[in-house]
Amino acid sequence: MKSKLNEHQFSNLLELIEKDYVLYAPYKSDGVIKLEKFHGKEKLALGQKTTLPFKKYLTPNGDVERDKKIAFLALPLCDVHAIHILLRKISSATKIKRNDILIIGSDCKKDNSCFCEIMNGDHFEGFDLFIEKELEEYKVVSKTDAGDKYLNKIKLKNIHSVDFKRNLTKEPFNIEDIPKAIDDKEIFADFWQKIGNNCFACGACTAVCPLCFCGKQKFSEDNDPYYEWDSCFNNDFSCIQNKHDLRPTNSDRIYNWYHHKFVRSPRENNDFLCTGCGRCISACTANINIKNILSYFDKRIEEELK
Amino acid sequence: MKIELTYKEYLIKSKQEIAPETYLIKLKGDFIFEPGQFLQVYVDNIGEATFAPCSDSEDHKNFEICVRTVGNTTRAVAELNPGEKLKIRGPYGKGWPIGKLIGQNIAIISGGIGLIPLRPLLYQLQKYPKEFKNIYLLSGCRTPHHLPFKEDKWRFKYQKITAEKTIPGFESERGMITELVEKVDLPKDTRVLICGPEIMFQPLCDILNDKKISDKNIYISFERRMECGIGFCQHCSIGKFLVCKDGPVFRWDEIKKELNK
Repeated sequence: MKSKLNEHQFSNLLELIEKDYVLYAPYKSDGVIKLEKFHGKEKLALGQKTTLPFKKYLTPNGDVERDKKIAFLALPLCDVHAIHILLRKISSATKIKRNDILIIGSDCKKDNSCFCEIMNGDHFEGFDLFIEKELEEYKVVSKTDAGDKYLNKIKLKNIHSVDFKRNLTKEPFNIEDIPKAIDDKEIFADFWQKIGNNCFACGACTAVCPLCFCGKQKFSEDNDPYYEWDSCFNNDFSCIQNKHDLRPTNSDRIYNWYHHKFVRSPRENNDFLCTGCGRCISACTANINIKNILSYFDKRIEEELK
Repeated sequence: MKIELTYKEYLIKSKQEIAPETYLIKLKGDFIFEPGQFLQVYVDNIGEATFAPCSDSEDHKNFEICVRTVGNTTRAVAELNPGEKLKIRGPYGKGWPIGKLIGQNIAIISGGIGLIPLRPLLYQLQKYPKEFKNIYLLSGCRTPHHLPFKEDKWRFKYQKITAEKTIPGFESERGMITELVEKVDLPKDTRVLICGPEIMFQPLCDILNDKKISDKNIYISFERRMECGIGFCQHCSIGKFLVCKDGPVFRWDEIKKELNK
């Protein structure tokens, strides 16, 4: 059995997958990498992080129904992990199951904003298939029965692992004790105020984050409830009656963003709502950098311990 | 995205204005809930709002909700008439810790319509008097006129109402709820249950602490913006807790650290 695919065989594989799933793949258009419904291999941007994450296809906005199972082609490992975390958070309400999704991971080009290895977002697991392009050929690894099925169909040997090289974050930090520091708002009050002063509360970070899932309840014309993405930076997010806002300032809101990701969510099921994809760093119009903020806390913790 | 929520329709049996802009709505049906839990009401083409059932939780034929008209949905609910139906889902959340109240002195402190989620508990306390020691019922209100459930007759040892403005013909103290609580001699092992405007919580707890009542014996029902009610949408978060799943009733020592987050 062969262990690598040529271009033609790779097309066959995608065709087979398309029979069972609605396939989404990253494309480069107008200088941006977008996740789009599969439309041929040209302009396919394998190994590149999309500007917006997969979440809008996993849970379509508005009252549109997902009619078929969906497959994602060439997700970087950080996004593969993010899918699993998102499903743990939302599937009890939305009934979306892991088995309805085929995840095809791929090697990726790490950019300056990535820090997946710190957030454990780079483990070689969680996908059905994994592809790595090597010159004109594709190495394919399967990790699940769903993946095996396609390898068998195209008569490809499972090589079980690929070794792909990745650059490590230049200034690594330890995430372990950071949640406790974030939880201690009083001690770092000045710090949060400073971050809040810089933040425009535009909500771009919540839009690009694969793990920001706050929802707003809406009702269709037939009075059926559905959910739309919301952002915790929106003005009415924490309003109760008489328009009394419980998080009126930018520093309240950005603190809540961090607190949800690193304290509230792990309390529930040990998941940080961050896999280190770095999209929020690229998207922030105020140059607020989550990596710098987390490593600031790490340094402060080290100083305290001395 | 589609979300799985199941509503059930209940027939409105009666509606009564029990205080200014405050309506008691009696519904037909067996709605099973624990005192202190909440429910969501949806009015077609208008929206959803959160209420606490306020009747005896052991009445399996009817239940009641109490509505203060403050917004579109509450106004729409209050405009419905007997014979019409209400779409309800729930109950949700964790209510009053009844198990921890057995054999204890209990103080119930309410501000304004904060009495609503406490009322099912009052039914329990009244029905099983041997299970509890002394019960103190302290209610604050703007004027006695504004106090909901004025007609309720409770047989508790100590019952006091305090109003910011008293009116002739209605027996009440004059002043804020904090002033009333200050005057009452509460034993130091009293379990205290509070519901009302959030602004009263800290001063009340300070007074209770002065009476040697510890934070872990104080339980408070919180109000936050509810959207889903099932721990998904994150609107109702207080620090690391979600009011819809971990609350709405919280122990003061656990929640007070989270309030500014």
